Amino acid sequence: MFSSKKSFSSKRKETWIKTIFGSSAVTSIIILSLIIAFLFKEGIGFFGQNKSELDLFRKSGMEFSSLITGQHDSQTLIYRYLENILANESKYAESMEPDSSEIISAQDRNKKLLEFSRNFQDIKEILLEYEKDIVEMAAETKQFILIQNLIKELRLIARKHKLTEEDFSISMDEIDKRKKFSSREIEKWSNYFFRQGFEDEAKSLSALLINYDTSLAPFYYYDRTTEIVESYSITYQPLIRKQNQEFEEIFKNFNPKFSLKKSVEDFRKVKIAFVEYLNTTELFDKKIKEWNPEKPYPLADAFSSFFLGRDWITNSARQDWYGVLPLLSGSLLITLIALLLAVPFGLGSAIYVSQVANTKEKSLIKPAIELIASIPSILIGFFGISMLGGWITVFADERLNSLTAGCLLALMAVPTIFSLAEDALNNVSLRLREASFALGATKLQTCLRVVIPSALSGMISAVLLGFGRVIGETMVVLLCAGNRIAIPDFTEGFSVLAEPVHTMTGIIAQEMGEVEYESIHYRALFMVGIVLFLITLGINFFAQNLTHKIQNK
Amino acid sequence: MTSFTKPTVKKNKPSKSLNAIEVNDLSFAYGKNEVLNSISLEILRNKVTSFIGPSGCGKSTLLRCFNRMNELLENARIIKGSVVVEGHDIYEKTVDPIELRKRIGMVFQNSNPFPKTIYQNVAYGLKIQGVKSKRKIDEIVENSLIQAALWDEVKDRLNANAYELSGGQQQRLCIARTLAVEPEIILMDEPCSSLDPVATARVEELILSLKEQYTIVVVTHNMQQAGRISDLTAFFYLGKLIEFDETKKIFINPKMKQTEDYICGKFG
Ligand SMILES: Nc1ncnc2c1ncn2[C@@H]1O[C@H](COP(=O)(O)OP(=O)(O)O)[C@@H](O)[C@H]1O
Ligand SMILES: [Mg+2]
Repeated sequence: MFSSKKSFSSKRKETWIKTIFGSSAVTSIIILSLIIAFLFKEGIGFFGQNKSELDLFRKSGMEFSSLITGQHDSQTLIYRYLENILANESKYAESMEPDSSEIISAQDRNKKLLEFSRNFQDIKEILLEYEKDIVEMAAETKQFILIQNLIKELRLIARKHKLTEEDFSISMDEIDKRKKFSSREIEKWSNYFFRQGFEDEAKSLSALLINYDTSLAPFYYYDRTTEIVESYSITYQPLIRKQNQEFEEIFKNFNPKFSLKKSVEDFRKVKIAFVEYLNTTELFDKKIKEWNPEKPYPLADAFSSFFLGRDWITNSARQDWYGVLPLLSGSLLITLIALLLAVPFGLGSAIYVSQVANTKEKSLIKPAIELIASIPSILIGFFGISMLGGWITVFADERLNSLTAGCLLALMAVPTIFSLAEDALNNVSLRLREASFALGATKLQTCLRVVIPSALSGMISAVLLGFGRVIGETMVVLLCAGNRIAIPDFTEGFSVLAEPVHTMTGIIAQEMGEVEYESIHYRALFMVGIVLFLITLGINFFAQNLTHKIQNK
Repeated sequence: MTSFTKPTVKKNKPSKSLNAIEVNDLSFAYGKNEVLNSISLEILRNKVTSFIGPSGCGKSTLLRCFNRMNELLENARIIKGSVVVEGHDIYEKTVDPIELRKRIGMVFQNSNPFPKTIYQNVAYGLKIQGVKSKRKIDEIVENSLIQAALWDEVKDRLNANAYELSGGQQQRLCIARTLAVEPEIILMDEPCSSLDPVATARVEELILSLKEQYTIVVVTHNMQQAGRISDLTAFFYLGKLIEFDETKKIFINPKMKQTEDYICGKFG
């Protein structure tokens, strides 16, 4: 009787414990899935918006203009190189005796180059004008298409709510065909929506009037896009051909003798850049010829322009780009630097503390390392800006760069790696160590051959969690990474380690406060968040799997 | 015979005594807790000596004094006395505990193979001594496993993880691992305590067969086991050596009342 009562109450206790632990596990799962669902809900719309942005980019002629700008830019680059060489040479000449024979002959030799560079500048000016025109045209066209789209949208709204047509009778077809909307018309439609009680719609129409004052410029959209292509083949292509021929002549047949060694080297570089440039012109010509404003972008491009996009350009006058690569590579570079520093230090001190240190040392080192974890990251950022940045300038041009941020993040990752690795090492049973000692192994041998191999997966997961800690850190990178949005130049060798970069976390923190709700920029930031989340999730999953493995061993 | 003293010191007088280990008036403490109290005894060469006594009486501690395993614990200290192995006081500064442990092997209460393959477990002691020749290692691994009566059971799966073996096999693997280092003395701390009777019988057989070549000290809980395998038996109680004699005498005709009580199962 007594015993059955006891077992009854203990059963109830058991169910209670089960419910408490079970419900907290369920809660965390629910919260996790809510976060995932929320992130995806906000982020996934990016691709649809991105596709229509891309289509607009093409339809408006913006794409065309940026093709030309790109080509123009690479020309300008080569030109700058040349100018640079000439400037260096003439500076050198000035420092010499004015009528020394060496200088005179050198000036003679460089004359041709100088002449070319002048001619080139003239042509460049013309091209620049042309480019400006095209950009302007594209901007106007883009604006027009936006207005067209807005009116189409309003048309749909009117139809959906079965409004009477009185003052807003324009049909879908007509909107598409129109090349102009007058301000009188727009005002009329705005009033119409206002009368119908659609205030927001009315406002969006009257906003057009404020932006464009009293009358909208006439847009000859279709004519203009064809004009764009034609003007290229008539005006631009001959110029570019002529220029390329001149270039070719200079670079293939002309071998100037420079007074400066540096100039010789620079000229060699110009040559290489030029060959590359010539190779791309063909592709460029093809792109221009195939360019068709009516052809929509493939859906895949909406994805690849994000996941493989090399530019993150926002609030641009021309076209915004949301490519995650510069941010991803910045984050990964900083993480790599941080781990390169933190892993040896974290694992090393974990091994020391768990295997070598005596009680006194342990009681000193452990709290010291764990104390680092308690420093608020903003203070670590201060330290980076005020002190570390200064020290870093010994190797780098700028105070704030990936190395600065990487060092600080290493500092923050050490406690994580240390604590987890130390746990893993301490979990290696004393019996195994004793067995090794009893066979005549030294402490070092025991450590290297028994303890570390047994704790290896635990140590790896410590490193992985350190990775997660570093890549998710925001404040320090925002303050100390230099915030230049560019893919680090990995061809630069070791100096890539000290380039200013921007990061995924940094960009979200920096831009999220200013973006318009549900705009494409807003969604792009969510997509960056999703990428970050997937990376950390993957890493944690991997780390857990490893820990699981050792526990099952 | 190699010496375990550091090579710089040359006081290597070969000892002709029959005693493998001599313990002289040894007192030992963990912190303030004195667990061995003025112990003196001799372990004879090529004999099996059993340590018996109720749990907590200091058998393991004494055993671990023989190969200086206790000094891995921070609070362990010798209060007085000495342990002499082959004529050397092993607690002298000139003695290298690493060399000492190569010559005095130890098998633990719970089998503790490394989480490595069977082969690697046996080869471990050789590898840390820097033996490189694969042939030599192969040969010693095989011999050790044969000596430990495990060879036939594992010869086809030397590269399997040691944890795939049964408990008894694991313990014999640990013995093989110890034999591979070619010690002169083997210390065993309750080697059969976690084994079933069949596995226990096999290990006992093994101990008897090793007696020819090695000096063996076995801590055991099991009186019958001490009777079966040992030539000499020492009975400890509360950190003191109560009685030490030939096993037969201890079991048939104990001199001390406490010994008799323990053997008859009156306490412990
Ligand atoms: N590492 C240790 N630290 C402190 N006390 C210990 C330690 N190991 C054993 N002891 C104590 O020393 C006494 C003897 O232990 P031990 O030699 O293991 O006994 P036995 O092997 O005879 O059962 C026991 O009272 C035990 O509590
Ligand atoms: Mg014991």
